[in-house]
Amino acid sequence: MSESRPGGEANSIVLWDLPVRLVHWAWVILLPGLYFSWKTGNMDIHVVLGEVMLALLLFRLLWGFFGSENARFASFIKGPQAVLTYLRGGSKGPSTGHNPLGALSVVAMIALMVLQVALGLFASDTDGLFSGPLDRFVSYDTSLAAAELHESVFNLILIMVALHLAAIIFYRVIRKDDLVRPMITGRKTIQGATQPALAAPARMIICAVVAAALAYWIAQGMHPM
Amino acid sequence: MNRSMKYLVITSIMALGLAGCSGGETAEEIVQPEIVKERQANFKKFGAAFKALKEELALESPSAAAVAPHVANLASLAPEIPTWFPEGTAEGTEALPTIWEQPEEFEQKAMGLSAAAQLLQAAVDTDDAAALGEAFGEAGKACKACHDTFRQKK
Repeated sequence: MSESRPGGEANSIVLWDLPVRLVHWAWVILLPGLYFSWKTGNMDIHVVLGEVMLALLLFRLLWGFFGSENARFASFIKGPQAVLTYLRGGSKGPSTGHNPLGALSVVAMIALMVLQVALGLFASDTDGLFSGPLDRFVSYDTSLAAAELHESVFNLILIMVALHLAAIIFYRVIRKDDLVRPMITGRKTIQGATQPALAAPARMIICAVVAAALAYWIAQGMHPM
Repeated sequence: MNRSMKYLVITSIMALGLAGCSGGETAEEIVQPEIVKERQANFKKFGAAFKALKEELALESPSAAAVAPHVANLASLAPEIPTWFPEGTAEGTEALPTIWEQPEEFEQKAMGLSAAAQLLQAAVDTDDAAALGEAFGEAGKACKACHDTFRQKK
């Protein structure tokens, strides 16, 4: 959600790097996949998808510290004051990347997904037979509670997704600003924008390997190596 | 912030507020008979027992003796299952009306769990971890066999 600056050339920049885009669209596929696999009772698939989700979240968290400039949390997350100032029209937001309100929604969505996966790791069915890989660390009652919360938190995620879609539509229809295409191609033409620093592919590979290894270890039950 | 942005923010907050109101449905408001509360507590004991068994069996060297109290619970309670379901106790629970439409089948399935519980008890008495694992498999099947027909699906 970039604002244009008066003056300056309209530059086509790579706004969202490949990892940001891949993770974003993977989430678009995983969320319905996770819901429907649960709904149809395909819990084995549900668990595998959940573990993929865990790996993606771990990757995105790492990327938020080591990735391209726009992907880094430090570059777009501002304090509450900045959000209020932005809402009151006192600032136009950064020249590239999320404005403070958009940043808040990113934080909310990622935080909710992390919470959801965490709950799933500890959840169990009432029969005590089917459970997440980490349920051995908690009591039966706790894992049941985790399962119930896991169901409720999904509703919160749905609300965030609805808001997210509403915002995208708002930008397209009212602001005449297409935000979908840049999330596919990565490129956006913004007046007065300079190319944000992009992370080298090697970093993506390292973060992916670390995230995958960590997710695997967790999914296997976090047994001592 | 321009007007359309203000509208978006206000609408969003209202939507969130509305969604917040829709909270979870409260569990059955009707007052349940004692037998219902008892059986739900007992089935939960089974669930906790299975969790303990599952975790013990996942260890490097499972000890059948370690799960003795859970198995004893299972063995003593399982045979009583059919007595937990007097007529008219389905409402507000996960028990399906099928229980009272096919009482012989229900009792048979319940006895399946008793039989498996006996196997578990034998494994505990002889401290045989391998037998425990096998019996656990039988018990899991017994749970599923009954639930598939007589308990509500999610």
